[in-house]
Amino acid sequence: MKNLKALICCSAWLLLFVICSALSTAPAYALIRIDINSPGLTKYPIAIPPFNPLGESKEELRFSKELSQLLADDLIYTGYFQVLGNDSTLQDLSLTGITVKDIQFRAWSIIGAEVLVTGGVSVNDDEMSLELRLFDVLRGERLIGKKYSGPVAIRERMIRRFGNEIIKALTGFEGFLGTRIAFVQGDGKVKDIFSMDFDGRNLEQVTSYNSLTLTPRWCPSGNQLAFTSYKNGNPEVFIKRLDTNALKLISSGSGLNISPAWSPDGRTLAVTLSKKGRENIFLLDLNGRVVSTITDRWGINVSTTWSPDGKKVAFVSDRAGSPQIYVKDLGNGDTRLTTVEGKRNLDPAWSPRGDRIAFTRSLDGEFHIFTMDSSGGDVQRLTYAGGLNMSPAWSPDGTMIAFSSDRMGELAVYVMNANGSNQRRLTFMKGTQESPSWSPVHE
Amino acid sequence: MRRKGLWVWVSVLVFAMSLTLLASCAKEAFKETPGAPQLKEKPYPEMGTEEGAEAPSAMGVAEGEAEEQLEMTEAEREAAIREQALREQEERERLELLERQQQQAEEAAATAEMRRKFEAQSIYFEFDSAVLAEEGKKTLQAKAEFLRDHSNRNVLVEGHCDERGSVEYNLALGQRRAESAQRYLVLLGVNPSRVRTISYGKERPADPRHNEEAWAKNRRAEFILE
Repeated sequence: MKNLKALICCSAWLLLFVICSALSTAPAYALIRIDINSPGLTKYPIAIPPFNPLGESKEELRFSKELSQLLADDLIYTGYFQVLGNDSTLQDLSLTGITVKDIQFRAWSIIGAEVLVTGGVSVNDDEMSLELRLFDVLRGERLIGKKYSGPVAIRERMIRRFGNEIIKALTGFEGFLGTRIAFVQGDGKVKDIFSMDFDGRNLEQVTSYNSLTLTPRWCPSGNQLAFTSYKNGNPEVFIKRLDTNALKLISSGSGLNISPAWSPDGRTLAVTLSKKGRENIFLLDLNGRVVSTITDRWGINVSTTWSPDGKKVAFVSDRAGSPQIYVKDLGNGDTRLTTVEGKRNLDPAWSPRGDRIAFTRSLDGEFHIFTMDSSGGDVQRLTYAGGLNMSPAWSPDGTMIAFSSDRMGELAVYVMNANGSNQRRLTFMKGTQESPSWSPVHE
Repeated sequence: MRRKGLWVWVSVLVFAMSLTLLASCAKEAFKETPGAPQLKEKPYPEMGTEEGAEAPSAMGVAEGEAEEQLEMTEAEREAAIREQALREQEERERLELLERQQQQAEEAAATAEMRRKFEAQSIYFEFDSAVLAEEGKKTLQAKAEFLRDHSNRNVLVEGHCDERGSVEYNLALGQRRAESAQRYLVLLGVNPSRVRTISYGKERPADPRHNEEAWAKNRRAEFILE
């Protein structure tokens, strides 16, 4: 009997041990903390104290402050984070160390941080080595640890890569730090394409044709822009490579060649051509040859946008009398009306996450940005200010939307979170800025 | 024999008198043809016999110099004649040029006036529509007549929209408006090859303001004479 009891006891302990170890290796919490689609977005408190210089040089000290500030600015920009840890009382805490064993998590938790970032910077000759860690303050555990090395000149890229890791860990989304936004700048007579960082900095002029150049669209790999330009007199579709500045004419038939939209595999462009008195959508290869016909109806068919899996397109058609948004399944050819409300619905943009379509609706003489699911349900209104809010464009992770708005006078490019919160202005140039397009993340 | 000596003195006297008479006659004979050989040597008929009549003493005095002088003025005369001819030619050309310029200016002014009259009238559209209004049709009829009367001219129809709509939808709507006008002109007998179309969507407003009045002016088709 004693043997049996012993056996049972042992088994029970063994079982408990097994269960315990299973529990301890299984995640005890979900990493994803932030629901970007919920209407009321409370900001997630994150502490980013100044990074530690790992050597003695003044340069390392300067970079430490600069890079922790850059990370803080980038995360604030996303609209999900409230950044703590930049005042002097907290700097002492940072001096204790950057790894788990050295951090006084309780002190951080007292000031309200839920996660903490530490960084260590060392520079040798022109090479920088950056150690970055993300900690769960409440549990005192490290969530992410990364080390980046490379030339000092690319330190911003390192920070942004880590920033995207933080975003991914805490929201589940890929992050968009380091991306660019292209848009159309107009000064009355001439319209040209410009681009800027996702946060509005580092403005660059992309085209200079002294003509009308409109509706830029980034290719899926991020190194080319397709657009329509009147530089030869008539509206034609071009592709420009941004690394070589090579310009290629894709479509130049008489009449309209407008509204280029890259397929997700980057091999074809949907373009609206006017033929025989109608405006229809055709699929062209990158030599401008028609591969197939997407619409073939009386009326205007324009503004194509692709689902991220490349199987469907949404577009604007006035086949029912006024411009509305339709979705076509390219496999079986099925075409459905998705917007059932609103006199005019325009400018559809399919989220890179595949679940929602942003668009512009006219109501009461104004134009506002809405989103809906891909069958037209769950319609949400995102803008209320101004008279013209148009041409929505998603960030590559589907968490933010860029758009143009005239709420402060002339049209300018704005950004907001996907649920409409945190609307702020990005461009402040003289003239008009409109038709934004958001680049993919590319290294 | 004294009478014989008297007759000798008388005959000597008579002889001497006749001698002097003869001599003076010979001088007169010489006087009658003064400088004739020199006159014949002169090559310039214009100089005339006047100069020749005056000249004898001067020419007699400086004959070599005068020949040289004659050669110089001959070269000068040739140059002077050439220059005169050139100046007359230039004057003719200048007058011709002036005339041509004036003609061209008049033609240009006439063309500009004709173009201005043709292009002054646009046609207008209702919101979101490419349908021609009655007013628009009348304007198109006038344009068609003009094109009939000026068979060497063509027309470019531009389609435009107001700002209320997306960039892309308005490019398409502008194209519809231009083609709507084009079709009507063709219906009125204008050869389709003479009517081009282009759309500017909402990119080239006639009135940049943001109100109903401006929008109504922007929903238009314009006609450019080519």
